[in-house]
This record gives sequence, structure tokens and C-alpha cells, in this order.
Amino acid sequence: MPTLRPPSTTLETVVFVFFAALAVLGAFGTILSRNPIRAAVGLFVHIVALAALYLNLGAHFLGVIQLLVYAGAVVVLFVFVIMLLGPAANSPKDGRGIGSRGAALIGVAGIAAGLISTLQYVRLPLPERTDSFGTMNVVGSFLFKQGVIPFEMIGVTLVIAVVGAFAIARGKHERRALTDPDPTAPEKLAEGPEPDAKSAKKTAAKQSAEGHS
Amino acid sequence: MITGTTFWIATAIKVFAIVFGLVNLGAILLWVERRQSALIQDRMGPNRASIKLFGKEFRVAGLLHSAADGVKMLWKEDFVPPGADKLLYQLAPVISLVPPLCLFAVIPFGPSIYPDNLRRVFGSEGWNAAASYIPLHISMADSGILVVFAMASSGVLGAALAGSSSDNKFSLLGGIRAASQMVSYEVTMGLSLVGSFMVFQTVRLEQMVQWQVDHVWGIFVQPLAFILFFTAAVAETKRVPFDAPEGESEIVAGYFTEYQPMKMGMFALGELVEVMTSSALITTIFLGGWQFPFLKLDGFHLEMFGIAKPIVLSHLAVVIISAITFVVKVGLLVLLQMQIRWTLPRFRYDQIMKLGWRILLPASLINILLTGIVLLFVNAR
Repeated sequence: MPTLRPPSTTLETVVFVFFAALAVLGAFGTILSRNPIRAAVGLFVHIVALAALYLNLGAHFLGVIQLLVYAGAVVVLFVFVIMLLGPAANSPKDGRGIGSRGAALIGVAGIAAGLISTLQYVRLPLPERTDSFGTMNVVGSFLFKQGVIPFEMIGVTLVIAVVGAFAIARGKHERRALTDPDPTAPEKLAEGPEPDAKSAKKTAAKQSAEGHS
Repeated sequence: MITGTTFWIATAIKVFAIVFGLVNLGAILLWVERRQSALIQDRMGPNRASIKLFGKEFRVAGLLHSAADGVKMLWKEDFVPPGADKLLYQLAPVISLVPPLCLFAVIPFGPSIYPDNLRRVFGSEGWNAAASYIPLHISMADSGILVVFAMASSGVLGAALAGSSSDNKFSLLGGIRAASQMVSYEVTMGLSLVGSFMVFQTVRLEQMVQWQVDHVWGIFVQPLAFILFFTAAVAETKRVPFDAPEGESEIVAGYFTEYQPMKMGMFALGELVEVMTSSALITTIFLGGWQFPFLKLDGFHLEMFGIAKPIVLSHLAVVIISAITFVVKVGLLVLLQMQIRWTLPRFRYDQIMKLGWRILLPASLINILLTGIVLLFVNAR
């Protein structure tokens, strides 16, 4: 392609072709496999191949961060959640008809045509690659000088999301536990004297256990 | 730095030396571990395996047990559980062995070698300053230690995949425990080193060692970080006292319950390689890396003891002493980790999580804050 910087050495070309193929394979593995763990491993392969492509382009920091964040954290989290869900995470057989599949095919073809025509006719002003391109120093000073406000705002947004998730997931239980230590107690009392005796026994056992420890 | 064909040859030699060395040292560490536990528990330890040469029996203090184990593992039947996910089951041991081997690429195990100046003294008359050098670490990655974290975090996937693909409840429990434990302690591992980055002003390990050669060892400027990182590193290796993912008394062997001979061996080897790489990292960041005390690139500097004149050494001698120093330091840390394994009782799973999130993580954040404040005052002067 004339608009893109051609790979400068044969080694770069070989690395590019190998990892580009691997990335496509991984992506297909992600969307085609019905077993969610296999899909996650396909994503892992895809991400590692992408990181290698970044390294090949000289974006060292981006490549390493790609591995660290996506392969090391996101995929591991996916696998962890899938393992916790167990067989419930298996996707059922795809029941969509030929119409929706054909529509998807046309959509994909349209996007591919758009991408190819863009690459053919649009000339991006690609700067010359310098020695310091993509190093931690350059990326870091850009992030913390020109891009400091968006960077900090993204950080605040993420913190808000985490705190919000906590409030939704844990908030009510915690509050109830604080005001009423045993929410099932009134129902137990209404049933009769038996549960009372049981709970008394329990407290006695608890006290003796505490006494021992 | 050297370029061209010499560069590729030197890199190939370094890669071979490190991979070959780590894998074989793993087998020797197995023996060290058995003998050490025998010493602690007042037993003999393994000493039966022998080899007959020229009618004489050689036992080599039980070292042959590791070799016998290797042979046994290679020839035993390799059984795959029928309900297992075959592809992932085969892939898991590879994913847990390769990352710890890879992350050694950025760790320097000696000062740069100047092949043209081997017999001269560094910086003296006759020193060819224009000569090319061979750095004694494989990767020149600008991101330095971030590569280590990227590799280490991929290693979690090996245990998780082994647990989920074996079609065994014990494996699944072990895999979940391994994933949650390793992810938890990785946070502390990364954050505890931020203070060191701030002091050293770099993330490249060879520059960190240079800083320590010029100033003082990292453990003296970041003592809290040393304790935090060491604890997190021991937890990452999944060995006693942090062996909840294996938990022999509860879940058989955890995530590798269903693995037989050599694949089980790969998990065990990966664990031992992790012990070595974490020791090498601690050596590099906190214990001066390859530096022998008072040894600089041109010889010993003993001004502190009233000897004004440095004891001059040739470049070759300095390189050899430094490389041996690195190996000895790493070896001592490995022995310390083994001692910890055979001394401390195991933690319960909830205790591991509490230690990680409620003690180590806040402590590492406090360490960053304190380091920042101290650096602010030091730099303001």
C-alpha cells in the first residue's frame, strides 16, 4: 500500500506477516468457539499478537502495556469469571436465521470495503519514526503535560465507576447488617419457643467457644 | 553497543545460557529443597539413587534423584482425562513455564563486557573508549521492569487454564484460588516498586544497578518496599505458606491434580524457575544486582577503611567477580525462600486475601506517599 510506511527490513516484514496472521486467527477463535474459556484464550492470542505488532512498529511502551493490561488483567479476569460461572457460561446454540446472517455478512463486507478504500485514497501525514518514538519517556511526558486533564478525568471517571459498583453491589446488605444484626430473628420468634431454645443453645455454644479461645 | 552478526551471536549465546541454566538449576533446586527439608527435620533425605561406573557406585549425595525423576517423568504414561478440554489441557503447562523463563530477559547478570579491553583497567590509560560492548542482559527493552510484570501477569493464565480444562472439581477450585491470589498480589508487587522507580529515576534494570553501584543498595533507600515485594514475590510462586492453590490437605494438588509426568514436571519446574527469577529481581532492585561490595568497574575502592588507593583489577576480573556475585546473591535468596517454605505453617485462604488487600496494598501506597515526600525535601535542598 503506497500510503503506509513500508517495513524497513525483511525481518520486520516476516514478523508483521506472522503476527498479523496470528492476530486474525486469535480473533476468529474468539468469535467462533462456543466454549467461553476457549474464546478467552483466543482473545489472549489476539492480544499477544497485537502487542508484538506494536513492538514491531516501535511503540515499545504501548506493546508492553497492551500485554500488561489486556493479557495480564482483562483476559485473566474473564477466565476467572467464566470459571466461577461454570457450565452456565456456555453459550446456547445459535438460533438466528439465514436473514440475520446475510445481513451481518453484508455489513462486514461494507466495513471492509470502506476500510480498503480509505487506505487507498486517504493519505495520512505519517511522521518519520525517531529513536525516541514510543519510549516511556515520550509517552509519559505527553500524558502528563499536554494530555494531563483528559488523563486525570479518565482516572476520576474510573474511580466513580468502581465506587458506584460497590455502592450498588454491597450498599443495602451492609446497611441492614449495621442496623439489624439478625434480620431473620422476628420470624423465628413468631414460630414458637423451639427456635428460641435453639438460638439460646447456639449462643451458649458460641460463648463457650469464645471462652476456650 | 555491538551490532550486526556479532550482536545476534552474542544474543543467541546469552539466551541459551539463561534458558539452559535456569532449567537445569531447577532440577538441582529440587535436590536442594529435599536435602534442606531433610536437614531441618533431622532426616537423611534422598541418597539412594546411584550410577555404576567402572564397577564403582556413585551416589553424588543424592543429586541423581533429580535425574532419575526426569527419566521417570519422560517415560511414564501420559494420560489425558477423557472429559478434559484437550487443547487447553496441553497448553496450560506451557503457559505456566514459558513466562517465568522469558522475564529473565531484562535482568542484567553482570556489567557490560568490552571484548577489546579485557586485559585493561576500566577508564585507565590504554582503555579503548570507542570499543563496542556486550551488555549482559538479553533485552534492551526501554520499558525494563514493565516487561517483567507483563510476562508475570500472563503466567496467571497457565494455572487458571489448567484448573478449568482438567474436568475436575479440585482442579477448578485450585485454579480459581490461583487466579485470585496471583492477581491480588500482583497489585502489591507493582505498587511496591513505584517508590524504587522514583528513587532510581528509571525503570530499566541495568540503570537501577548502575544507580546502586554509584550510590547505595536499594534496600537502604526502600526498606519497606523490600519487605512488601519479597512477600508478594513469595506469594506469587504459590509455595508454602501461600500454597492455597495447591492445598495438598484440602484439594489434592489443586490446579494440577489431573496432570501426569512431564506436564506435572513443567508446573513444578515453572514454580522453581519463578523462585529463581523472583530472587534475581529482588537482587537486582534491592541488593545491588551484580555489584560486589566496594567493587567498582576499575577495582576495589576502600576509602571507607582508610585505604586511599583503589586496588586495581582488570576488566575481565571485574566482570567475572560481578557475575559470580550475582549468582551467589540469587542463590542465597533462593535458599532463604526454601527456608521460609519449610519453616512457616500455611495460611488459610481468607488470611492470604486479608494480608494482600488489607495490609500489603495500603502499606505499598503509604510507601509511595512517604517516598514522594522524602524525595521532595531531598530535591529541594
